[in-house]
Amino acid sequence: MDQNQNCHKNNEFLFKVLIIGDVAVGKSSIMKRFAENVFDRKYGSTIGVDFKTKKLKLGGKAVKLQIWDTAGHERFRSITSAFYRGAHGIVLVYDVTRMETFTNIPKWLQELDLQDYNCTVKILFGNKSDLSSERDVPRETAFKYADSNNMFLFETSAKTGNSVNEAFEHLVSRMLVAFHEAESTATKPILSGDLSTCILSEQEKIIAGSGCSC
Amino acid sequence: MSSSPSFPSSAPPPSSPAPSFPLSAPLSPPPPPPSLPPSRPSPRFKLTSPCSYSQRVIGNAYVESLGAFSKVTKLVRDVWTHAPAEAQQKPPRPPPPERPPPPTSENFDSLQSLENGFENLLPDIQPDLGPSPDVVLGKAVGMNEWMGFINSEGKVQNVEELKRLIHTGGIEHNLRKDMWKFLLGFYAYDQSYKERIQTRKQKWNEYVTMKQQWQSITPQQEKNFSLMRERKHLVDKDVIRTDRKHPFYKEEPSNTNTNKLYDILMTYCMYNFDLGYVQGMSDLLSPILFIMDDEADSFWCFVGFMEMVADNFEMKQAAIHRQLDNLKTLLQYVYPRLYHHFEKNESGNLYFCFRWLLILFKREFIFEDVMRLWESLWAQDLSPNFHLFICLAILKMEKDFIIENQYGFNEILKHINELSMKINLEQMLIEAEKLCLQLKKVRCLPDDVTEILTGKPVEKHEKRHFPGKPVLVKNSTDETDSAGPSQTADYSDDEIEVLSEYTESTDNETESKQEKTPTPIQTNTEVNSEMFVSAVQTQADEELVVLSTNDKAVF
Repeated sequence: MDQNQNCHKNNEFLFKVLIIGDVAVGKSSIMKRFAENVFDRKYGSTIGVDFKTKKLKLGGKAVKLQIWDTAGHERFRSITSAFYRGAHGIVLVYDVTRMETFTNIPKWLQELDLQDYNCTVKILFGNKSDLSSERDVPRETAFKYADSNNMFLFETSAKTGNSVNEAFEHLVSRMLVAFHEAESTATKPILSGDLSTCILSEQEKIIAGSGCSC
Repeated sequence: MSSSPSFPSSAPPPSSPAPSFPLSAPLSPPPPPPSLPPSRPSPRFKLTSPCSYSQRVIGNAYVESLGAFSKVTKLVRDVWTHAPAEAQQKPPRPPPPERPPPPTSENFDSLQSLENGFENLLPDIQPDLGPSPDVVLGKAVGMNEWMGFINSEGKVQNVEELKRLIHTGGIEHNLRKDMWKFLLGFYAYDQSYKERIQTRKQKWNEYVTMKQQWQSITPQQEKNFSLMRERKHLVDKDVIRTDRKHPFYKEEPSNTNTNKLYDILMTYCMYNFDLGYVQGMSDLLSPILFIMDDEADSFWCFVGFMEMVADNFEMKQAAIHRQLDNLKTLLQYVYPRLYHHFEKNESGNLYFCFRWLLILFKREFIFEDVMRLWESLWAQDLSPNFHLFICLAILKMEKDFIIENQYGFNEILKHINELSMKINLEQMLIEAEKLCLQLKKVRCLPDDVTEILTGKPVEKHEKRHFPGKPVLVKNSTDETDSAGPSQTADYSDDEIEVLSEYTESTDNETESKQEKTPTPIQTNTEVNSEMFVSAVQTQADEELVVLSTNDKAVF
C-alpha cells in the first residue's frame, strides 16, 4: 500500500481532457498540434469521436493526457456526449474570427451542466489567433467573459502552435491543484470516486508501458 | 454580432467558486452504462413468438451466464482491489502469452484480469448457423456485358441479373458514369435513349433553377436569414476539407471541383430545406462528383443516394440509433462472446460504429474501394440491411484480437478508428455475403434477426410446439465458417437450463429437418409455426425467469 501511495502521490497521473466547441473552430487541429505537433489543413471534419494521448512532465510530476476530440455538429451530440464521461478537464474552443462561435460558449457550458460536468476544470481557447486581420471577437470581451466565469482564456493558434502547449500546461497544473485540493479534503483514502481514475494502477502502468519510477 | 455572450440561466454566476474536482458520488454521479439504452427493453422479456423466444434464450443464456460470472468476478475484484496491501502487492497478471502486443497503449480500463480469467474458461457458444456457403466475387461489369443488357431502343433489360453482376463484381471505372445514373435513380431502367436525353435536359433545367434560388439571395436577405447563413458556413467549412488529399480535389488555392461540391450541397439545401446540410453529406457527394464530373448530374445522383440514407442525418438521429440497435441484435446473435465483451466494457451501445453507418464506410476504405462498396450496396438485394453485415464482417475480423487483448472502452474505440483505410474490402464483401446467406438458411431465426435480415415485420404466429432441444454449437476455431455437421452441446448445467416440452407437432418432418445441414430456406410462417421451447434461466442475482409453454411469460 505504501509503495502504491508513494507512487501515486509522487508522480504519475492520467487525466482525460475533452475538447468541445462549434463546428470548424479547430478542435481536431488543436488536438493534433498538441499531441503530435503537426498541423494539416486538409484534415477532414470529425465524425464521431477520437482521442490521442500525450505524456508530459510538470513540476516533477508525470502526467499522461488523454485528449478527446469530438464532432462539433449539434446533431451528433447524442452519440458524442456518451464519450464525455469521466473527463477531468474540458477545453472549450471558439474561433476568434467568428463571433457566433464565441457567443455559443454558454450553450456548451449549459450542455456540460446538463451532463454533470460543472465541477470539472475548464479552460477557454480562442483559436485561429494567427488570423489577426479577420479577428471578430475582441480580446477584452473574451477575457472579461472568461474572468467572470472563472475560466482561464488562451488565445491559441493550432496553425502556428502559438500558446497551445502553454494552455495545456496551464490546464494540467489546474487539474493537479484541483486533484490535491480534493485529496486533502477527502475524508477517505483517495482511491474512490472519479479521482481514482487520475491515478494509473500498477497494471495500467505496465500495459501503458510507463513503468513506475519509485 | 459583437456583443459578449449572455449568461444562460443555468450558467454559474460570476462569483461561483473555482471548479473543484469531483470527489464523491453526489458531485459526480456515475453516468448510466451506455450499453443499456433506456428505450430498449431487455430482449429477454420481449416475447414476440415462440420460435424467436427460444432462439433468444439460447443467445441470451450465454450472455446472461457470462453476466452472472461478471457479477461474481466483480465482487472478487472489488474485494481484491480493496484488500490489504499484501494482497495488492502480488505481481499483476502478465500479458497473455503468444499474443501480439496491443498497437496502442491505452488500456486504462483494466483491472479485469480476474474477470477475463473466468470467462476464458467458458466455452465459446453460438447458435448453429450451418455451413458457410462459398462466395466468390465476380469480374467488374465491362462494356461488352453492359451492352448485352441494353436493347435496340436503349432500355435496360434483365435488370435483376445486371444488379447481381454489379453486386458481385462491381463496375469498370469508365462505365460508372453511365451505370451509376441507373443505380441512383437518375434514369429509370426502362427509359429509351430518347427519353433519357429528355430526362437529363429536364433535370439540368431544374438544377439550374434551384441553384439560382440560393445564388440570388442578397446580402441583406442573408443577414436576416440565420439558418441560411449557418448552412452556408457549414458547407463552406466542410467542402474545403473533403478528400483534399485526392488528386481530384487537391488543386489549390481555388479548386473548381471543391467549388462544385459547394454549389451542389447549397443547392441540395434548397432542394431539401427541412434537412438542409449535415456534416457527412460532403463525404457522400465527393465520389459521385468524381465519377460524374458534371454538376447537375452529380446533384441528381446525390439526391438519389440521399433518398437511401437521408434518415441518417435527421435531427433526432433515430435512424442511426435504430441501426446501432439492429447491429447489436445481429452481433448478440452471431458473435455473442464479442458482444458480451463490448457490453462488459461499456461499449454495448456500439457507438464506435457510428461513423461506419453515418457515411457508409466512406472513411473506412480507400477512395477506390468506397466506390466499389457503394455500387455493390446499391445493386444488392440480399438484405435491406446488408451494410450491417459489412459491419459484422469487420467486427468478425477484429473480434479475437479485441477479446484476447482485453480491450476496454477506450481501446475499442481507438482500435476501430484506427482500422480506417486498412481494411481489405473484398474480404469484407465475401464475409458479409457469406454471413447473410448463412442466416437466410437458418431454420429458426429469432424474429428480430429475421426482421433485420428481410426488412419486413414477422407475422404473428400460431402457437405450435416443437419437440426436442434447440441446437447449440460449441465453437471450435471459427464461429461461422465451420463446415460440415455441427457438434451439438447439451446445456443442462446449472447456468443454463433449457427445458423443452413436446406437446404437438403438425409436421412429421420437423425433427428430421432440424438435424439437417444445410437446411432449405423456409418462409417465416413455416418456421415460426413449428417451434416453441420453454426455458428456465438462472440469473446472477438469483432472479428466476420462468417462461411457460404457453405464449405468456410468467415471472
